[in-house]
Amino acid sequence: MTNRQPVRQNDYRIDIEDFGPIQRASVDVRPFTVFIGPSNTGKSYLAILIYALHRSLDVGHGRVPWRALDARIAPSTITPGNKLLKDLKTWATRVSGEQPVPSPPPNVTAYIDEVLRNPKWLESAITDELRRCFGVDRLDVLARRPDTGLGARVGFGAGDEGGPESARYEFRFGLDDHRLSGHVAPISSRLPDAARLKEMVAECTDWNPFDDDTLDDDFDSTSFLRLIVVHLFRAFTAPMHRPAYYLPADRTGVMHSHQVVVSTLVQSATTAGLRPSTNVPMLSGVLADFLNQLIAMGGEQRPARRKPVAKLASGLERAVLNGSVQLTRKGTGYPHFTYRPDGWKDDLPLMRTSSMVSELAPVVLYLRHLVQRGSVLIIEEPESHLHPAMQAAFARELARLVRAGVRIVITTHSEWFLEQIGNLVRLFSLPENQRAGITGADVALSPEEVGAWLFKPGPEGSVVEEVEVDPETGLFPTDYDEVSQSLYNEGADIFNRLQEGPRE
Amino acid sequence: MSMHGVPVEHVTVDLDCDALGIAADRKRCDYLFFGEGQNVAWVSPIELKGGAFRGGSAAAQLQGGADIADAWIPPGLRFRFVPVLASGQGVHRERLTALRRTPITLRGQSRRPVLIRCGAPLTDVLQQAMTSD
Repeated sequence: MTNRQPVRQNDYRIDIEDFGPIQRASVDVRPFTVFIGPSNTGKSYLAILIYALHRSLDVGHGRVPWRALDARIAPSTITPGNKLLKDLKTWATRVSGEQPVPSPPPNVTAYIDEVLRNPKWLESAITDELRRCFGVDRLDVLARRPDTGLGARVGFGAGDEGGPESARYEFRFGLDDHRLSGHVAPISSRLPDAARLKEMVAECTDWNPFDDDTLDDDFDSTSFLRLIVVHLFRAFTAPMHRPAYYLPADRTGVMHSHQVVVSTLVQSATTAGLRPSTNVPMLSGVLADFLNQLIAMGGEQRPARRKPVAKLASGLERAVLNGSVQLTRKGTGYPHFTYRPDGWKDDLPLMRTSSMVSELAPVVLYLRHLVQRGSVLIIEEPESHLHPAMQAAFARELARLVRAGVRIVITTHSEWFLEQIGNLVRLFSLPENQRAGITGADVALSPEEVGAWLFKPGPEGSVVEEVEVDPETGLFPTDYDEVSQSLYNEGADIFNRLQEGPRE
Repeated sequence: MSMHGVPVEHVTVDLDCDALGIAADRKRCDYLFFGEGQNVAWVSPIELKGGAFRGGSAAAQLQGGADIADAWIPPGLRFRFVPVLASGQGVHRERLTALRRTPITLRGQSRRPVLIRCGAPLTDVLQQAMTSD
C-alpha cells in the first residue's frame, strides 16, 4: 500500500484490514466509484462504511462531536494558568491588525496539532455511527475476527500517511477496545486565510476591529480555538465531511411499504406500556435514514447550489422513466409518492407502477430535494429491476451527476452498467468533433474520475483490487467473463451431444 | 496450453509450418491435434488467443483448421471432433454469441468450440469429450 500513487486532489482513500468480510482493501473514492465482485465479498460493507464515515466527520454541522470536542478544548483541560488561551487571544489581536497574518504561537500550534492527531473527541462519533449504520449492538462484531483484540483497522484520509499536505486517521477496533489516531501535516499549511481568521475573531467577540486595536474581555478564546480546530479538521479531511445519502438495495420495497412501517412504529410507540413489550424489528441505520429522509422530504428550501442537480432529476425522468415522479402531502401531511406517465392526466400510486419506477423514484426524489453539488450519493445495485437498455441510460445519467459535482458510489453486478461506464471512459479520449451520432455522447468521464474496485473472494476474506478499462476491449475486467465462459461451455457441451445424436 | 496428460499416441501439427505447404492467405487455426486413447480417436483444431478477438473470426480460423484436417484424415475413420479455443483472458459474452452461432463442421460433425484458458491442460477438454460417450 505504501507504494501506491498519492491520492488525487478532492479524492480520499480508505484502507481496511479485517473489516466484515473484507480481509484487505485500499480504495480511493473518486467522483465515480464502482464496487464489483461476487456476492458476500463486502461491497455493501464498504459502501456503508463510507456513508458512516461521512456522517461521523461532518464536524461542525451539529450532528456529531461538538460536545466531545468542547470537552477536549475546555479551559480546564488546557495548560495551567490558561497561558495558551491568553496567547491565543494575543494572536487573535495580531491577526486583526497585522499584514501578513502572523503565525500562531508555538504552544497554540502544538496544542491544535495534538487535538488533531489524537482525536479522542471523535471516537464516540465514529463508534456510534458505525454501530448505527450497520445496525449492530457491538462494534467488535464488524471485525472479521471478532475474537481478537483490536481486530479490524479502518484508515481514512485525503492523503498518504506522512505525505505532504496530508492527513490520515486510523481507527482500530475489536473485542477489547477501540482506538483512533491520526497523522496530520503541519497545521500552517491549512490555516484559514486572513479574511476568514478575522471573521472568526469577530464571531468570538463584540469587538470591532475597525474601532480598536485590542480585544475586549468578552473575547471567547475557547470558541476561537474551536473554530480553528473545526476549520483545520474539515480542511484535512475534505471531502469526507460532505453530506452523504444512501439508497439501499431494498429501496423499492421501502417505497411500497413505508406507510405500513411508519404506522407500525407509531402504533408501537403510542401503545408502549399498555401491553407486554414486543421485539420491534431493528432497522439498520442506512435503511432508517432512507425511510426518515423519504418521510421528511419536500419541506425543505432549495438552495441555489441544488438547482443543477435538481435539473438532472428531470433529465433522469425523461431519459429513463418516460414520466414524472411527484411528491404531495395531503391531510395528515404524510408524503404520497406518485408517478405520471408522459401524456397522462392522472397520477399513479407507486404501488401500481412498474418495479422500474419504484426503483428509480427515490433517485429522482433525492436529486430533487436532497442531493446537491459536493454531496455523495451511494446507490446499491442501481441496475435492479431495469432492462439492460435502461441500465445503460441510467449509467449515463449518473455520469451527468458526476459532471454536476455529485460524487457517486455504486455497488453493482451488472455487466451492462459496467460496459456503459467503460464506454463513457473510452469516449473521453475521442475528440468532441468526432462524437457525432454516438448515443449519449454529450457526457464522458475521464479515467481519473472513475475508480472501479473488484472484490475478490479468498480463503481469508475478500481482497479488493482496482481494475481499469482494458484499452483493447473497452471493458472492465471482471469475473463475469468466467461465468459467461462457464455457461457457454455448458451450452456447447449440450449442443455437441445433441449433434452427436443418440448413443449406440 | 498444457499438453500434460494427453494420450501417449498423439501428434500436434503447427499449421504455420512452411513445410506443410499451406497457402499463406488460407484461413487456419494455430494447431491441429490428433490423438488416440481408450479406443477413441480425437481431432482437435486449436486456436490460441492471447488478447481480445472476434468470435466470428476465431470460428473461421477453427473451421479453416478443420478443413485442412479433413484432407488428412483417412476415409472412414471414426473420431471425436473437439474444436478448442484457448484464450489468455476472459471472453466477453458478445464474442461468445458469435461462437454459438458458428459451429465448426468436420465430416458432418458440427460442434461448438470448447473454451479453455491458455495454460490449462488440453486433457481436461478431451476427458470432457470422453464422458459424453
